[in-house]
Amino acid sequence: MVDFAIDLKNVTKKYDGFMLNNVSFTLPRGCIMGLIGANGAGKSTIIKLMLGIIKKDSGDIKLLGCDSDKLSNEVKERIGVVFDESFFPENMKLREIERVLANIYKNWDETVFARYISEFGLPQNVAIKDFSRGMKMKLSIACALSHNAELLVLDEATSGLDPIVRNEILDIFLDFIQDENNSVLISSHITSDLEKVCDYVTFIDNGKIIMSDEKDLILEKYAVVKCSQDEIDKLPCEKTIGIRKNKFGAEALTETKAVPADFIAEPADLEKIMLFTAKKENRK
Amino acid sequence: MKGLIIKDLYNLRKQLVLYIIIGVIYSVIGVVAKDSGGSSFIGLILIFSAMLPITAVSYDERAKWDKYGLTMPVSRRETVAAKYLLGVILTAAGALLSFAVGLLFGADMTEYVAVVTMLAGICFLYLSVLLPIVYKMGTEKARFIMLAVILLPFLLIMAGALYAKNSVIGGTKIPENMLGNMSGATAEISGVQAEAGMISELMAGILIFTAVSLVIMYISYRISVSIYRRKEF
Repeated sequence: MVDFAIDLKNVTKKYDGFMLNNVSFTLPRGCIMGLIGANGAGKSTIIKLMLGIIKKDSGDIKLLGCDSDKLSNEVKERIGVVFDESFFPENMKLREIERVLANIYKNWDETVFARYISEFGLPQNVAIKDFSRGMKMKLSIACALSHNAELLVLDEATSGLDPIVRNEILDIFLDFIQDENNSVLISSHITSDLEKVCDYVTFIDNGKIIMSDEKDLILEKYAVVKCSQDEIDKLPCEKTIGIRKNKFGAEALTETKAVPADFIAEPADLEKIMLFTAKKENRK
Repeated sequence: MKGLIIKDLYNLRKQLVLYIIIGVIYSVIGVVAKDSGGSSFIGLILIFSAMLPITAVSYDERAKWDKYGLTMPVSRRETVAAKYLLGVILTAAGALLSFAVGLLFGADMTEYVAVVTMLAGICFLYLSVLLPIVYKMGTEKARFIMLAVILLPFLLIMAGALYAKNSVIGGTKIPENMLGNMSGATAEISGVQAEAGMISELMAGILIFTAVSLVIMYISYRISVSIYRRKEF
């Protein structure tokens, strides 16, 4: 049996005007999964449900083998979380935050924290409120990595950062999963980042999972076909995920195997898949 | 949980400095003036200390700490317990501060202990009423209710003091009189010189009151936990 770091089964959560509908996916240990979706697709809701910050209406969520409704402190010790903002009290300084966290996490590692702080160039004597957005994100990431977590959960954690820092951080994640016990779930709409590091990809749109599989399988499975507007109708309907037409021609995302021989097809990337899948939902 | 309390103390640092300054000034005035005013000054710093856990909750709200804090190895129960514990710690600190100043100025310690113990009980009652309301409604919405809860006993004390002053015949000690009015249990001391026996009786009443307030605080804590368990962030 595969040991899953994250295991969601038929998870449903209803809000006014939004519903997370029957969401299921799994992340095997030792892997990085990207959760891709537009703003408001339900990425953050999934992450909050997983961490027990909000409560599901139905379904089953397991984190490191434990029910997410009643995560014990021992399990939470093994999880590092980074949200899209930092939630540290604004008046505190780095040293003070470390003192707080060192008293919360049993496995807090001063040496590792100090290393990330100097690597990220974070100032010691500046209150958090004077940190830039990038600095706050770096601090959150440093905190998540400094208590020997086995599972990192990152919600839009790289979105406020410049490409250079994003690359640095992605490398840190790749480094992190060198230990086969470690896993990462990273939600983002920056598909290029996810394309670079992820083993698994889950597409979510409007509260529903569109697809969830190994990244390479997804990329192999789909192709982008470019042709004229008339020709596009010849594509097999049930194998076509989405179509976009403009005055110069048409583009379609379709299964690679279903592309007729006389059509020009190029491999799809995650961004194309995101665009076409989201579009499909909108058409309905 | 220790980490959470450290975080709150860091957050409240400015208030704590102010709290110590006010505490010292008021205690000095109280002791030097040697009148019933002293008791109400001590009351003020103790009630101030009971307010600080509420301020700590509002800091958490502003930083949206809870969403983040709950991903850490701290349960919802512990998150709530930390605020109650903070209240107890700060009240105890306020009491110690009062004692220190009292000793320094050679005040009547029997009276002092009685007043401080009772005020600590009042602090616990404050927290018991306020914290569940704050957890239920948020500090923003709970503000008016908080104001009412804080002002009401003050008005009662003031009314009591006024009544005491009016019924004073020369040479009567006012503090005992005030205590009588405040503790409620022994409200019927009117203008008679308090005897030693009466003071010990009063003290017993005060101890029972404070013990009861601790029990009420525990019940309040259980209520807050059940409110907080249902919260989503």
